[in-house]
Amino acid sequence: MGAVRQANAPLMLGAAILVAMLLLGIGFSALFGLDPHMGHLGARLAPPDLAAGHPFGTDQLGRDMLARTAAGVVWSITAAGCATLIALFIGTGLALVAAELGGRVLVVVQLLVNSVITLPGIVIAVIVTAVIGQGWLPIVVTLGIITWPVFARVILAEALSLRARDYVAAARLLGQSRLKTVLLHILPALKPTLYVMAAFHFADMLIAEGALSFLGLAAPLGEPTWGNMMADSRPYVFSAPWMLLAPAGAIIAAVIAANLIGDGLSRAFSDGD
Amino acid sequence: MSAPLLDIQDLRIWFEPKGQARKRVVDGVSFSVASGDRLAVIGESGSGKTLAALSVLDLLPQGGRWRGRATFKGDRLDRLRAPQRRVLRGGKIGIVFQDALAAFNPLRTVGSVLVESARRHGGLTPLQAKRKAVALLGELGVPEPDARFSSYPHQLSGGLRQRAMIALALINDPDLLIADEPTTALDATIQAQILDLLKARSQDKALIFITHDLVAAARLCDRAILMRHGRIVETGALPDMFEAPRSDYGRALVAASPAFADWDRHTEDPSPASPALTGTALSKRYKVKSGTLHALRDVSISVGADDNIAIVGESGCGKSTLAKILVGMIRPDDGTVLLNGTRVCDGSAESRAALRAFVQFVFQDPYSSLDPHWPVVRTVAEPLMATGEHDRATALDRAAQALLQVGITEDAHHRRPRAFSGGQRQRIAIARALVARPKVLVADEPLSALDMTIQKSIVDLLLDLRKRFGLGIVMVSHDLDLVAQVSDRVIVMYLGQIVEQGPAHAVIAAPRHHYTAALLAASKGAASVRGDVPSPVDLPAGCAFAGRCAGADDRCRTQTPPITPVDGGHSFACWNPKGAAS
Repeated sequence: MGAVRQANAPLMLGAAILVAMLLLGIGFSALFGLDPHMGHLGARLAPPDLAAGHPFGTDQLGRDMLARTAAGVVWSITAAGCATLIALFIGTGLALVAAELGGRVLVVVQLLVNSVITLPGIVIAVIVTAVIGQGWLPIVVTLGIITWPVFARVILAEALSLRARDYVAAARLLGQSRLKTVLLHILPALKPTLYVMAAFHFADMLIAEGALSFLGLAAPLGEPTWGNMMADSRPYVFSAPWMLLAPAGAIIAAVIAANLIGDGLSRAFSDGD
Repeated sequence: MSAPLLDIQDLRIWFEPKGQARKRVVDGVSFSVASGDRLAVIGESGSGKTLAALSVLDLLPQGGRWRGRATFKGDRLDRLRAPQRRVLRGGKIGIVFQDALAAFNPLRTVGSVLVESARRHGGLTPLQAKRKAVALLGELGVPEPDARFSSYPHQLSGGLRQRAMIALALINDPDLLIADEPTTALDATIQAQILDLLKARSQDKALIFITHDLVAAARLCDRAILMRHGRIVETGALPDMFEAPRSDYGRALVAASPAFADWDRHTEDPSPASPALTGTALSKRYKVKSGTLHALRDVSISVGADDNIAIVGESGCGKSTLAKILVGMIRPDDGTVLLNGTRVCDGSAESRAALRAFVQFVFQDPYSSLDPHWPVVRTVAEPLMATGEHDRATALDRAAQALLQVGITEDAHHRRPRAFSGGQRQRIAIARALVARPKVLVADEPLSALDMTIQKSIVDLLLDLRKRFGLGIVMVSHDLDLVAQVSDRVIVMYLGQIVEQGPAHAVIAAPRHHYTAALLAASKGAASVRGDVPSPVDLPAGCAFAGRCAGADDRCRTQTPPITPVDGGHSFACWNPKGAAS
């Protein structure tokens, strides 16, 4: 165990979709010379037309939708990825400390988990935006510190049950330090759970970031993010539906890819056992 | 012999997991039982004994298939359709499962399950069914059957739960009773009671008794088939079969069974060398919902570097707690542990290090004591690497040596625990305990998770290590018979206290405490005490054993008996000891 032994179809497909989206997002404007910020007022709300050079059409300012969608990839995927990592590290760290120290620390962490879960995410995001302002970093940190209890709960339960195993008692008995016992005996056993949870959490974060962006709580106005683009599309839903379909399709594709990776990982780990 | 009640010919059972090759688990097994027969199906885990007996009732695990000719009272079971076989199950054929706690629905009272069965198969009205169930519980020795009828499974003790399980099997007055290891989950003294009960209640029926326990089989049955790897290796009458087994496997099994065995007895008498590790007046209490659980009460023990001690008792007697206090895994509430005069039970880094150098611990369950993610050689090297005294190469080198000493060959050193059998895992666990070269090994029921023939090889290994390295051994066990043959000194515990201790031969030959005598009798298959072990939460006044003791009088029930020495280090705590009059 420890590593994923055999690749399987969902895992490969999901990874392929995400990698392809990322490459497209990073390389697009350089490759095709289309600037996501550059508008052509003569070509406003142009429908998708490959010959005209706008395969996804243009928006109300005549900006190329494909270029904007591609530019949104980097913003969304890095934001969701970093938010996931923050949640994972805070949640796992606190859970391991609580499981190992037990007693009051355990009670405090459990209390903290339950309190944070009750916080309304949107309200927190509004407050953060009001105090710090919009931007990539504030939204990533906000998402991370609102959602870490998801990891903490699951990891705490698993770590407590792992701690009761004889081999953990054996390690302590034969002189292993507490820190090393956790790092060498408990953490490796949590890896499958962490990987699978991270993949699904990433999908949740993509949607959450999109929603906050849509509400204007994440990205500065005009920044080409999927949420902003969907917000822009509101007045034109019926006259220029491609303005909604392009970013929505991108979110759906990324979320499906992340879920495929999660399914694939959990299948790979359960086969390995 | 009358016409067979159940006749099974050429039974084959296999599993066909999805996408995997067919796995044959029972191959060409034939046996039959007639009314009044008591047949033992004996084998170790994985021998197919349970599958062979239960397959014809459609009780195979998922993915299992069977073929063969099975006749029950003239009906061909293999030609009946599943609903028709279902009528037999629980009706004409009663089944006693191994683990009554798992077999009963935890959300339903025992009585409601009994009533359900009586109504389904016997067509009784609810009231009739209830009367029958309560009467049956009473007949089966369940005290206050009216109250017990409304109990949930977890509210009953193991012994009572197994009686309720037997009631469920018997409620429709079946012609055939199949008992699948009905005593395995129970303590020794309770086991004997259940065996007696089964014997008494199967007089007019046929009984198939599935077991790994030769003593229990010999006690209960008159015929046996011996299974291994899905085939019958020997068939014969009991107890002749155990006196002169014909197959190699039969001989190995009998040789490994302590009650029949001729172990290489370690005859040297305990040397009165100054003890190195001493526990004085140790007590351990746990807070539980209903009060205080007294796991250990005022127990003193001394362990020398060349001692070979066994701590014996039933579950809940505190034997494991005592062992874990000795190695520093649990801190006692009262009392002290001294190593060469220095206090080592404070949990400080120094005491832990001092203890580690002297004593190492072998866990009960080798399936959970090894980290499944680590190659075994790294697990064995951990004690050397954890303390930082040895570099990685030296540690791994010494770990490899230790593995070889316990009989794990080099090609397997880098595999993970999953690749090893239970016996091999326990060898690896022993290697881990040995690698830091302690003076004493404390082993907590090191055999209880293992099959009989494997148990013998592990005991042989421990004795061999003792001989080669002068290793002291403290073995915790529930099997007095076994330890009597491998240990020099025996400590018998009951409800957190030592009731008797002394040289093994003296304790076995002339037990003074009634509980020791009862344990000895139980290991020979005789029921000698009534009732269950009382809860360690509400301890009775006086002698803890008084409630179950045949020799108890008023003094026993009110005053705690003092520890009385006999001679040669033999002592006991009893007001009316056995053999006192003579």
